[in-house]
Amino acid sequence: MILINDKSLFKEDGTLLKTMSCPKNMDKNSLLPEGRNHLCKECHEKVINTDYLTESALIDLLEENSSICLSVNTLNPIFKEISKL
Amino acid sequence: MSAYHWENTNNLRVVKTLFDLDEITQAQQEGNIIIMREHVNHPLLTVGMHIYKNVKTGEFRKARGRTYTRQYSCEQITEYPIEEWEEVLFYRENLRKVDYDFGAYVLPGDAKVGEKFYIENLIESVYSGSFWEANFYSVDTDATWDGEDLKIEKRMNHLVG
Repeated sequence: MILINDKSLFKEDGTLLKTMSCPKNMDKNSLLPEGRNHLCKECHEKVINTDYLTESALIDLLEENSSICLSVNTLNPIFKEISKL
Repeated sequence: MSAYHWENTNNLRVVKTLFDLDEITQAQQEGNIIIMREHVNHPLLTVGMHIYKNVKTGEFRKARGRTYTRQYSCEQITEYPIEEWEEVLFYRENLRKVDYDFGAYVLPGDAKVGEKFYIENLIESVYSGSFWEANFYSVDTDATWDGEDLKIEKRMNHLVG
């Protein structure tokens, strides 16, 4: 389980993985599809669609590069919003 | 699985939901504001379901279809092959099952215009989003009192960054 508190993603042991922050304030509807992922039409950077990642694959990805852009669906059961506990 | 609880994360005053007319009458007599609502289902909150019968054993099973998509590989898996499972029924199933046709939201009598409240039990079925092939409904939500009605807040369930 990856925990979401406000806009930050944490491992279950409390380790911060990433704080979601977009300087262009993009939302999912303003991203372009690119295969299974998205393309940001402002920055032209790839945005990883976490719908297609397992929990461990996402943790590995963020531990390698936490600045990578992500799209997160909070209904995905790999996530839990801890502010709701 | 298809129910989503937003919870009262903003510590708002709570709007109670009542379904019994005597209780609604009493709540009004106590000075509360009553807003009656019909239960309305959302078109995205019904799903087509199939009942299959095993041609050898006679066992009945319920499923969304003969095939499904495995989440991470996107592989199509055939769970109920046509030569083994006969379809005996197709029907539409409501994701949110309720046993009422209407209800009432009960606001405190001193509600201020523009004040945001937390509805702990929605009368109407509100679509909250989807993940893969699953659609979700909201059990609860925030709503704003405009002086005449409660305006249900649209919630975001995506983060980008």
